[in-house]
Order: sequence, then C-alpha cells, then structure tokens
Amino acid sequence: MKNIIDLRIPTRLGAWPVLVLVGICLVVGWQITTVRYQPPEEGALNRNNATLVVADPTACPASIDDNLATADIALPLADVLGNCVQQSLAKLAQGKQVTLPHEWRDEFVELPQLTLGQAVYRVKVALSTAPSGLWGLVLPATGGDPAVFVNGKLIGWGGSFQAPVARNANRPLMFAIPQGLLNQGDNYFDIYVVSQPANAGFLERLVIGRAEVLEESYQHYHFFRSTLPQTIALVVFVLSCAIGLLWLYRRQDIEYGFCALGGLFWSLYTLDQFIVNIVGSYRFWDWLSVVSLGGLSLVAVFFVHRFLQQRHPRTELTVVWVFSSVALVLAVVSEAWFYHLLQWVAYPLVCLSLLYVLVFSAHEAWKIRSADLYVLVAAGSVVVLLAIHDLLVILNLESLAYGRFLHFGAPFVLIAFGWILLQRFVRSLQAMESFNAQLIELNQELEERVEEKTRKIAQSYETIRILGQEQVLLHERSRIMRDMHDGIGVYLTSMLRQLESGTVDRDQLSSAAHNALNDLRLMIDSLGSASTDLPAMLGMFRTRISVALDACGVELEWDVDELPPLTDFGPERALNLLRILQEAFTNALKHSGATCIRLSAKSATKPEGTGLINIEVCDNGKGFNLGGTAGNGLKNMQYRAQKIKAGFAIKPSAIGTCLEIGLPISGV
Amino acid sequence: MFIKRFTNQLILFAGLALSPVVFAADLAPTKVEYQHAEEAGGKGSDVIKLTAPKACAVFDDARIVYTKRRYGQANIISKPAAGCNPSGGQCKLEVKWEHEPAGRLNYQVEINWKLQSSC
Repeated sequence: MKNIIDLRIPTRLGAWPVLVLVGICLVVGWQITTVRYQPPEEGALNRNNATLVVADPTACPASIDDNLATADIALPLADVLGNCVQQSLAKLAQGKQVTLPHEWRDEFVELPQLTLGQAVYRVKVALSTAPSGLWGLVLPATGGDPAVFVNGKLIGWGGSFQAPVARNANRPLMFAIPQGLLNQGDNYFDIYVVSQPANAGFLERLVIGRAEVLEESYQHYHFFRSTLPQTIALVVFVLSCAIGLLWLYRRQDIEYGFCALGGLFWSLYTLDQFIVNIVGSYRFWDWLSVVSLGGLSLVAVFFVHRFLQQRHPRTELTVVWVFSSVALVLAVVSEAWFYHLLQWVAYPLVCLSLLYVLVFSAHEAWKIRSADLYVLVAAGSVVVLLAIHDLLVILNLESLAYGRFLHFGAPFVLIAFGWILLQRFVRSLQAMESFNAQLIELNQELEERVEEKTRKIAQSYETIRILGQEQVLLHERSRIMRDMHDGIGVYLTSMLRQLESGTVDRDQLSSAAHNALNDLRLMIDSLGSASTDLPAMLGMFRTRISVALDACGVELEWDVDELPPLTDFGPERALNLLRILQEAFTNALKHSGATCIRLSAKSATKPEGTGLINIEVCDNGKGFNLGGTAGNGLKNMQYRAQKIKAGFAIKPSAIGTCLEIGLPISGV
Repeated sequence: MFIKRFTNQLILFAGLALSPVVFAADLAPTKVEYQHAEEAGGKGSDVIKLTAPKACAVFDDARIVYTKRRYGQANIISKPAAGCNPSGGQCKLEVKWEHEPAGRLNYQVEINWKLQSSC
C-alpha cells in the first residue's frame, strides 16, 4: 500500500465537529462573496443614478491605436475620446435613466446597439459650494475600459483602447480631479465604457470625495480585488511547481502529479482576475480561462479517485470526453454561440464535476472517518460554494459588478493540503523516532551478543592454543625420544652387547662411544637456538668437525655464502641435516683417503623457479663406485634427506666424491 | 485681646479675597452647539441671542470650539461688546460657517460671562 494512504489514519471525531468545520468554512466562503467596496462613511459622495447613452459608433472608434506617440498622424487621445463622448451625448435626451450598478446584458433587448460594446454614463452632481483641495473619483469596478470626463475634461482612463481593450472588471480605479474643475452648481461626470465582449459590460458606481479620504477605502478594495488574486495565483503556481517536483521524485504517488497539474490550471484561471491587458483576442482569452477551469475540475476528479484509491475508469473516460468535446466546440463556434455555450454548458459542467468531487469525497470521508478527508471536504465545500456563486453570476442571477470568487477557494485547499502534509510529516517523524528507538535497542542487544560471542571465541582460541602447545610439546618429546632411540640408543646397545658377550674390542667400543657422544652433540646442537639459522648451525658443525679433521691431518675448505633464512627449519630438520653432514664427513675420513674436504653452501634457483640452498661436501679422495651396493650409511643419508624433503645426490669424480644436498627455501 | 482682633481681621480679609472665586465658579461658560453636514456642501450663518445664565451676569467673551470639522470653518463675525447685559435684549452674536461637499461642521459657541460688580 502506498505511503499516501498509509498515513490516512481514521479519527475518532464524531459528526458534530466535522459539520461545524464545514459550516465555518461555508460561512467564511459566503462572507467572501459579500465583500463590496465600502466608501468612507463621511467625506465622500456616493452616486448611483446615471443616464445611459449608447455610444455613437460613427464618432467612437472600436479600437484606438496605442502607438499614438509614434504614429505619423496622431490625434490626442483626449480629442478622440472627447469627440466620441460629445457626439454620443448629443442624444442625451434619448438616454435611459439607470441605477448603478448597471449591467449591459440586461439591456440588449431594449438597447440593441449596446451589443457593440460602447456606452456613456452621465452622472450629475450638484454642489452647493465649490470644493477646494484635491478631489478624487473612484470607480470600484468597470466591465471593460473606462475613460472619465469631468465637466467635459478628460481626467483619466483605464488602459488600452486598442482591441482587445483593457479589462478593469477586477481592478478598482481612482482618478484625481484637478483643482478648479469642480464648480459650485451642477457638475457632470461622463464615463465612457468600452467592453469586449459587450455582455461583460457594466458600471458599478461612482464615488467622489477628497482624494485623501477616498485613498484608504480604495486601497483596501484594490487589495481585495486585484492584489490578493495576484498573490493567490503566484502562491498556487509556486506550490504547484514544488508539488510537481515532489511528484518527479515520487512517481508512484500520482496524486501529487494531479495536485500540481490542478494548481497550474487554477493559477492560469486566476490570471483573468487581474490581467488588464490580455494576450490575443478577448475570445481566445475567455476560451483559455474556461478551459483552464475545466482542466481544474477534470484533474480534481482524477485526483480524488487516486487519493481515495478508487478506480472509476468509465467515469474518468466520460469526463475526459465531455470536457475535451466542449473545449473543442468552444474553440470553433461563432462568438454568439461561444458565450451562450460558456454560460449554459461549460460553467454548469465545471460546477457539476466539482460537486461530484465534493460528494464523492464526503461519502468516502464518512465511511473511512479520516481527519484528512474531513479537512479536504471542508475546503472542497468552500470551493463548490464559490463555484456555484460564480455560476449564478454567469447565469445573470447574481450581479456581475462584484466579481467572481472561485479563485478565493485556492487558499482553503492549500490550507487543507498543508494541514494534511503537516499531519503526515508529524506522523512520519513520530514513526521514525519510534523506529530509531527500536533500532537503538536492537543495536544494543546485538552488541551484547557480539561481545558474548567474541568472548566465547577468544576462550576457544585460548583452548586451541593451549592444546596446540601441548601437542607440539608431545610431538617434540616423541621426536627427541625417537632420535635418542635411533641414534645414541643404538651405539649404547652395541657397547652393552660387547661388554655382555665378554669379547670386548677396545677400538670398536671406543668408536661406538665416540659415535654416541657425537650423536648426542648433534642432538644438542639441533635443539639449540641456532637450529633455525642455517649459517650458524653450519658454523657450529665446523667447530665440532674441525677437531676430527685436524687429528686426521685433513684440510677443510669452508665456502659458505650469505644464505637466505629457511622457513619451517626446526630442530628435527636441523638434526637430520647435521647427521647427513656428519655421515658424509665420517665416510670421507674413513674411506676416501682424502687430504682435503670442502664444504660449500650457496643459494640457487631450481629450473621451475623455486629457490633452494645447495650444500656440497666434496673430497679429493679415491672416489666412490656408484655401481656397488649402497652401504647402510648411504641409505641412512638418503632416508634422512627424504625425511626433510631435501634433494640428495652423490657425484663421484676422478678427483674424489661430491655429495650434494638441496634444501628448498620454502614450501617444505 | 490682640489675638482676637487679629483673628477677626484675618477672617475678614480672607473672605474678601475668596469672594470673586466663589462668584466666578458659579458662572460657567454657556455652550451653544450647531451641526452642519450638507452632502452638496453648504454655507450660512447662525445668530445667537444671548441669555444670561444668572442675574447680574454680563457678556464677557465668546469663542468657537469644533467637535467635528471636515473641510469647513466657522467664524464669529459679530459679537456684543464686553459687559453687554442680555436682560436688555440687545446682545446678539453671529457666526458664519461654510463646508465643502461631503464635509461636516459640528461646533460649539462657548460664551463666557462675568458678574456685574454693582448688582
């Protein structure tokens, strides 16, 4: 389920608070529709009786070029307008007495020429005294573009008279009356009004007074009718862009997309409330306005369906077809039909779809009892109220002079959305805090578990280490026992047998004792600290063998290079190597008759690339017959070399025998 | 003896000193109010026939006090001479006023009196 719906939590609110909320919103909405221009209670003259004269089409051009300043032949605007008003007022006797506010659409039957969209209102103001100081005139609203004459002098106008003329329906105007223009006696205010289309023409009323007295009330009303719609349009546009960006990041929440689109339509529609100089023809502008309003109501239908997770594809398709068809028809029909369709088809359809959205959401809100939806319904009720009011205005059941008010619904909807988003934000924050608290708790528990496991693993490692040490000790003890049994034990047994048999050969006994002693020394050497350092071990061997060699008068050539360290070269391998060397020297001394024995040790590289240390023991004796049967000594040497995984070879030559031992540097 | 005479003299002089204050307090100014608010503007004059608030009171002076004034003015154009006794029926005061269209003029004519010394 989507996040947007997840956070829509049912409320315990009963019916009354909701109805009160809706009631308050409706009252506020209705109050908005009753806002009028309030002239100062004192200090101003309010005039709502006037004589209406249809402007003389021969004297009043339908469009006056704006580029008077750069035109080749330019008549002053005051002259053009003045002539128009003067010619029109020539028929003042046939003029119609009207009460302001006055709307043209009510007069088309009686005054068909009014459909041309030009009229002059004459208002007479009798003054007992001549005013002094700066006076002003306020036109709270004018359907179209007014030009104001006071006693025949032009004092101001509302914008461009070039088609499409300026629209001041929602822009209150205030003109200063130059000093001296108002006299004691009768004063005439002639207001020439041009409206496109003609059915939008009207004059609300005319208020005169001291400029400083009128200023405040004028500013207040100007703020309400012009500045506030501008602000609303801007805020709606900016927020729509923001929500659109939100939708770009969260494409799965299509509601945000519809919300942004609806906001854009709404701000486009609101442009008509304050833009004075419209773009394109007035018909295009009105078409754009109604299409944007239709777009808004269309998007509202889509939005409410998505927001409430309801699928009504047939309804949506029907709405799309109807609105598209109406928009298309409005674009192509004639002007007369255009405004009739606008009045009787387009705006009622907009109101119907907005009403559908309100009823649909109210029904769902009642079912789900969601606070978010209640707020949305309250805001929607204001929008529908204002839309119905505007429809009444368009259907001529309410006055055109006080404007339309649908755009004032936007702040209600924005407040509702703001409230919903705030609620969601707070709920998300609370959920996040709760998750964080749980996470911290879980982390603490996990840390405790990890600590306990680490402790147990450390204990296991300690146990394994102790067991390993014990095993190493046991293995070493076994090895020493085995070496003693195989080495010194053999010599002692031989000596014991000779002594027990009674046939004691002193030489043999001495030899056996020497051998036993030598073997004991080798074992001691192999157990010493030099057992892992080959050069040191060879050095100790040299010391021991030198005595025997000196005694036999044999020269020793010692050629040991700097050697790399051997990995895993422990006491066992050291003892075996020393025994091989001991055997080699003993054999050379006993059997070769050599006068010189050479020991060399060098590092070398095997053909396959691995490193090794080559130890050679060579003598210059009588040599060695490889074809003969190998004695026990030779077999022992081969066996020991195999045991320490070293290469072993005997190379007899013409000048003696060479014995070669290849110790691999690593990987043994 | 001396103390008693001194006390009597003190009371006498104090009485003499305070007597004008006591009389003046009784003669509060009288106020006559006028309102003019013509929508189309207006001008005119208001004539006040003075009546004394108390026997022995004579006219001293008068002035205009505005309570509401919007684009208008009122001026006393004629007033009786100081000491004029209204009992003779000859004390009249005339105010000329004028205000603009949509203006308003609410003013009071404040008349001050004084007591005649020999009454």
